[in-house]
Order: sequence, then C-alpha cells, then structure tokens
Amino acid sequence: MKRKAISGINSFLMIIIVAGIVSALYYIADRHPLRYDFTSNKTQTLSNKTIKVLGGLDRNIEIIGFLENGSMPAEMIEDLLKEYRRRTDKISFTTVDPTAKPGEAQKYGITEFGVVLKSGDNKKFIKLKEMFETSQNPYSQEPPKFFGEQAITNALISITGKDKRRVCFIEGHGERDFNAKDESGYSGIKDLLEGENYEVAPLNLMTEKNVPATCSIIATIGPAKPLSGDEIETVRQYLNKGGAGLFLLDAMKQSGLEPLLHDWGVRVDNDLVIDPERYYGNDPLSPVPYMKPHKITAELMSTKLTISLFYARSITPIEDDKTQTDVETLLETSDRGWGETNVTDENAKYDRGEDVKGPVSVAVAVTGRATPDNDDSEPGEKSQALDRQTRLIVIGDADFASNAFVYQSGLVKALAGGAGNTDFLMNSINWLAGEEELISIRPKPTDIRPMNITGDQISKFTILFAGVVPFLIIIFGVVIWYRRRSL
Amino acid sequence: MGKAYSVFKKDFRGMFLSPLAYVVIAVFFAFNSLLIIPGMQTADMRGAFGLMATMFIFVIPLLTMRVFSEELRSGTDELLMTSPITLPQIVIGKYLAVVGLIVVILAISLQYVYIIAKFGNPDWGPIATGYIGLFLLGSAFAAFGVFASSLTKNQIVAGVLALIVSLLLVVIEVVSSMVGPKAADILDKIGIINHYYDFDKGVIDSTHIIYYIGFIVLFLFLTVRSLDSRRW
Repeated sequence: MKRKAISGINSFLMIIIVAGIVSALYYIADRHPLRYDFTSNKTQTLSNKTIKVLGGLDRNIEIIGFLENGSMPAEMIEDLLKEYRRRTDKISFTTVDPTAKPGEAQKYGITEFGVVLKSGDNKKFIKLKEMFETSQNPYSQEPPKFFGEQAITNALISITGKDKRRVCFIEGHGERDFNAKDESGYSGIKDLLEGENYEVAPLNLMTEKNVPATCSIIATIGPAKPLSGDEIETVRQYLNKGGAGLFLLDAMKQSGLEPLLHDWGVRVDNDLVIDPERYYGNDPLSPVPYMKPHKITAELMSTKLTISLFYARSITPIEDDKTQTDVETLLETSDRGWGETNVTDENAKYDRGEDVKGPVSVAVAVTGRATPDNDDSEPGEKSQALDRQTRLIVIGDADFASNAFVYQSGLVKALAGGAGNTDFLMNSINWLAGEEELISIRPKPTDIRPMNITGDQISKFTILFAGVVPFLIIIFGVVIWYRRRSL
Repeated sequence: MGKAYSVFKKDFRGMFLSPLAYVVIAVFFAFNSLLIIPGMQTADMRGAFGLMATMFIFVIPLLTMRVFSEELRSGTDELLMTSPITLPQIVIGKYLAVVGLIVVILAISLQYVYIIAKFGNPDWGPIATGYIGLFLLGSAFAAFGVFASSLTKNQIVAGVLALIVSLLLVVIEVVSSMVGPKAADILDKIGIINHYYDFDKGVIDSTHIIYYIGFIVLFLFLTVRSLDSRRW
C-alpha cells in the first residue's frame, strides 16, 4: 500500500516535470519563431510596410469578411488576415457568408462581397473587386492580381488615422445641398461619404477667408451663380498649396471658376453635350460616355457599369498646355457626340467652327504641382507644398450623382440612370483624397494554377481512385487474411 | 533502439495481417476521392489536405484503439511487462507502427498529387509543407490515441475517447472565436488545428513543429506512466 502511494506520487511528479519542460520549450519556440514561406511567389509573407503599420496600431480593430464560404478569394483573404493576426493582437477577424446570413450584411449596409474594418465609430468597407484586378483583356491567360494587402493595410491606416478626412462643400451660390433629401439633393452622396469614413462640412468662402486646414477636399457641386473674385482667389491659393478640388459644373450656368480651371489646363466650354449614338432612355441630352483608362475608372470598366450624365457640358484638356499639369480625360462621348453652343436651337446639329467637335470630353482628372510663379505660400510652407501634388476633378454635370441616381434605401438602385454614377463620383473623391497612394504594396499575382482537365477525365479518375483502388486494397487484405487463417 | 524497432516491425506487420487496416484505408480513400477529385479546379492540394486532416480525426482512433487495449484484454501485456524490453521501447515501437500506417496512407494520397501534376502546374512548396503538416497532425492524433488505448481494456472505449478528445482539440478553434482576445490567444495555442494551417498555406514555422513534437512526447510519456502504473 505504501509502495503504491510512493509510486503514485513519483509518477505524478514526473508527469508534472515532463509537461513543464514541454510547455517551456513551446513557450520559447512561440516567442522566437523561425518561419519560412515555401510558396513560389511568397504569397504568405507580409511586406515590411504592413508589418510597420501593424506594429503601430494603438486601438482594437474588428475585421469582418463578408465572403463566400470556401471560395478562393475568401481563402486568400483569410490566409492574409491570419498573417496580420500573427503580428498584432489588436485585430480580430471573423467571416460571415452574406448569402447564409443576410441579416448581418444588412446590419452593415453591405450589398456585395467585401471586407469591413471597424474601429470605434470608424468603419471602412473594401469591396472584393477592389482587391482583385483582372486583366482588361478577356483572352489574357494572366491570373488576377491580388491587392488585398495593399487594400487592407491602407484601410487600417485610414480608419486609425487621427483626423477624419473632411470634404468641404462650398456653399452660397445655389450649389446642391448635401443635406437635401429630394431628387436633386446630395444627401445620398453625403451618406456614402460618411460610410467611407469621410466627414462632410459646409464651407462659406465669404465668411472664411481661407480654406480651413481641416478640409481634405473642397467641392463645388453645381453652383448656379458665379463665385466672387475674392472667393475664387481663396480657391486658387488653396489649390496652389497642393489642395484637392472637386468641381461639378452644370451646363448653362457660370461658376466664375473657368479662368482658374484654365490655368490648370482645363477648358470649360459653355455648351450642351448631345450624343445621338450613346444616350440614356430616349434623351440624347443624357449622354452615356465611354470611360477612359484611369485609376478612377479601372474598376468600373472591368465591371462594365455604365455612367450616364444629364444635361452635361464639355470639359476638355487644353491641347497646347503651357501649365505643368497632367490633364486626363475620364469620360468621353462617342465620335458622333458634340457640344452644342447654341442651346436655344430647336434643330440642334453639329456646326463646324461654333460647336465643340466630338468625341467630347466631359470629365477630367488633373494632377500637377503648383508652379513657382503662382505659388505665393510662405517660404516655410513652400517645401511642404511642393511635396504634395494638386489634384482636381472637373465634371461637366452635377445631376449625375444627385439623390435620383444614388442607391435607394441601400438596396434597390434608382432607375434614373447609369449604375456606375455614384461609384464614379466616390472613386473620384477617393482619388482626390489620395487614398490609393497611402501605401502602395506591390500586388502579388494570385498564384492560381488552373487544371487543364476535362469532365470526362475527372470521372475516369474518380472511378479509378474512389472505386477501383479501394476495391483492390480490400481484395488484397482479404487474400492475406484468408491465407493466414488457412495456414 | 533495436528493441523498439523489433516491436515496431512486429506490430506494423501485424496491422497488415488483420483486415481492419485494409478496410480503414479503402474506405478512407473511397470517401476522400469521391469528394476531392470531382472538385479539382486548381492545381493545389489544399482541398485534399483539408479533407484528409478532418478524416484523420475519425480514422486514427480506429488505428490506435487496439494498440494496448488488445494486449490488456488478452493479458499479453503481462508478457510485455516481464520481457527484457523496457516500457518506453514498447510504447515507441508500437507508436511508430501506427505512424508507419499513417505514412502508408499519405503515400497512397500521392495519387491526388499525380492528377494535379499531370493536368496542371502545381506550386510544389505548399504541397511539401502540407504533407509535413498532415504527417505531424496525424502523428499527434496517434500519440493521443495510443495513450487512450493504454487506459482501458475496452477497444471501443479507447477509440471513442480518442475521437472525443481529438474533436475537442479541433473544436477549441471554434470556441476561441467566441471568447475574449486574451482567452482566445491561449486557446489558439492549445488547439491542434491552428498549428496545422501554416503548413497548409506553404509556411513552415518552428513553433508548430515544436508544438506537435511536444504533444507527441507528452502523450507517449503519459502512456508509459499509465502502463507502468499497472505494475504497482
């Protein structure tokens, strides 16, 4: 009895010691992991930029992947976020299949696959299609590129950023009201902006002599009356210091900004765009322009969403451009479209010499540095100002993104026009905010290696490996067993 | 070690003399092939590895349940205990016989690699690491299974115990997603599947290798203690 007790205690102690040694070794190994990525494209290795961002996180971030269970994109994103989780305990990650749990998706106002990042009140949604870039060429054999790391790391930066980005809407000249919920109002865009972690604020240039430093972007949406000279001068100075400006200018209205935009290489014509070939509904005054390749349009072009404008004016890059700016056309009518300058003409047709010849550019993106000539910032600010490129978006219409064109109740698209209208404006604003360049991480080709196998061959191999091989194994076993028995 | 090897040889051979191993392997591959091959779209093994890892939870207890239970039931353990072979040698030898059977299963699964290599251009790194991970995972399940079989004469009880604990070690991951981050962190370190994912992705991390080896050593040691206690 005594011997038994001693053996028991002895055994117990030994177990404790061995368990302790094993745990201690594991603890050390866990602290100092040696890790090697054996994938040929190093797809499981985070960039140093991401590692730095993760190391600097100072608050908890909840990431929810709204992804199709078991799909390849879901797998890739899950793998990626597991690597993030290894680097920080500030991130939590769950996946929800919105087809299985539509309620969850609705709670976040999500209508497509993607990833939501949440930190306190800040929220950001990354669409799945923003994380993958497929070749524009439908016959291309190239696998889609995976931008997941870039997209998620940038989203982390933007939602943990100390300042919310603020879009300041210039008011006082009959601009569209971002609080108005009627069809011509812009409350829909305001909601979308707030959903993407922007703040929206009014900006009265009569009372504010300078554009406040809190404004990340200034916007003027369809002013009905011209801005005053002082106001234009304020805008000019803001832009010269590397500001970002969104200009939505309706046809048949003067904003007074035309000379200013001219200095940035953009011609604003006083015309009405007519496209007899590509228009929405029955109205050639609702042109459906072609998109030109640009960061802003890339996603829309790949998803083939259309944009339709309503009573647009032409906005053209100035050919003989003496300014140091880069003006790119984003939207352009068909060759048969033109800018009608005689808007009262009942029988509108292209008049050589008077009208703007098609294809007519109706939206442009401008990048440029403030030239030293017109840079009158303080010497101290100068170096800083030169660091940042001025960005402008000028679109010859303000109707196209008004409430009539925005998602209604977040689910059903209004029938007023192009399904890509609001995306186009939101992409433009994100581009103005410099979103895509917070961090650029070289995308990794999504190492998808297709199988060149026919259904016939699959059936053949299934029969072979699910039927024939197991059958042979059993026969073999029975033979051996039988021979042994009969020995 | 020579003595452990002779135990291994005897046991490994013994497995192929009974029909159980054949039936288990045949059913394992019939079932896996039915699910894996029709779903093959890309030239990688992740789907196959995932399914095999899941199947291991159920299959390995079938292979381990009789390792010691059988000896305890038939009384042949007396012979083992009194033979010149030490207990650790017996445990290691018998355990390696089960591991040998796992290697056979993994070798047969190369049939899937054959298909993807024939009809695609696979990335070999993740396939190699996946096999290493699957081998370690299977070996860990086997170590617990052997321990379970040392606890009882009843094969069924040993098998069910191994199955339940293997399932629990897997389910920990699900639990960890429901508790707070601190607790989740600890559960993630204990859970057996969490340590497998990196291999599946194509990454080798020393932490996971140490986890599995530690797990195996711990349960083989417990097996020795458990058998030893019968001599008291």
